Amino acid sequence: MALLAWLYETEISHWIRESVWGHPMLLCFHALGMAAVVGVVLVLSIRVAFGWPGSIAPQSFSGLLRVARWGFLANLASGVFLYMSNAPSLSLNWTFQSKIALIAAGGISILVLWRMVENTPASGGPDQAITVQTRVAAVLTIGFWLGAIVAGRYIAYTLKHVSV
Amino acid sequence: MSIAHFYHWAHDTDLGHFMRAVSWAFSVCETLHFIGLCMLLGALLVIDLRILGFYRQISINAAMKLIPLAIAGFAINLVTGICFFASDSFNYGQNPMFIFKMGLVVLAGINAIYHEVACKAGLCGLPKGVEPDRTAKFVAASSLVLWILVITAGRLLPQFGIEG
Repeated sequence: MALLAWLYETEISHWIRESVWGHPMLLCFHALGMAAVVGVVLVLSIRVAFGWPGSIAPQSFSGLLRVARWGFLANLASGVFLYMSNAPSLSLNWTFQSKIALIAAGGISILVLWRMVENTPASGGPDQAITVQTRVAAVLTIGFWLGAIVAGRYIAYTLKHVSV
Repeated sequence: MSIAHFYHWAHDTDLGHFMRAVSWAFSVCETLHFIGLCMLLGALLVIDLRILGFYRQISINAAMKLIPLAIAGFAINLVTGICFFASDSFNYGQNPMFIFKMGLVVLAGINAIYHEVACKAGLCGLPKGVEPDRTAKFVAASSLVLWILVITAGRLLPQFGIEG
């Protein structure tokens, strides 16, 4: 709790809570980062899991995953600052804990999925070469990231203020 | 019908009553709104960045197959957005950021219609190795900028007086 109290009392946390634009601007970066990372991950996962659209080879998403990575960094950086500004309350909030767990699962899941996609032969009909395990990994990836969005939206509805 | 009458009418619809009376309605719509924007931005990142000349391993024709995903994301956001508006039409109507956001959505819509009418046929018929013309690239860049601004404006709504 001492660490959470220290985070809460840092100068930057005070600025985020007290300035007019600190919190809203961080929320903007958080939303844009989320849309980029979840957007690209959704398109790739839908392609792998359901074979749509068949004309895009899953292997050709390597460049777009860099966009997702930048989105994730924007989401992570803004998320760290948002967390610092309300660390004690967020740390004890079960929806926030669920969101972090789902993001971690989603991150591992997309890494595993991409490894599987890279090991899938692109030539000679890529869809036949996509294994059931790869499709399951894609479905799980969709589930984890959509779950993270759901949990993220419910933080505001379940958050209880914890004094430091 | 004056604008005030329209707000009254929207406020008194069954949808408006439902959104205010049912405790979980707003949070469910918020979650769907975020998922919709991820679908929309994810599809547009692939389509527009490809038209701009990135990720040439994906053919433009293949990227354009993602348009239905963008339309589905937009449809989710339109329906949930109407739900938000009906829940508190007076506050939304008087929020300058909401007016700005709706203006951006209209511009993005005109841009998308122009893309569909003037660019799509030419883009889909491009021979392999030939890149789109400047007009198509301008429309693609405008699309990305406008939707990023729409997301930003949406996150700034509470700052100007209302949640949403």
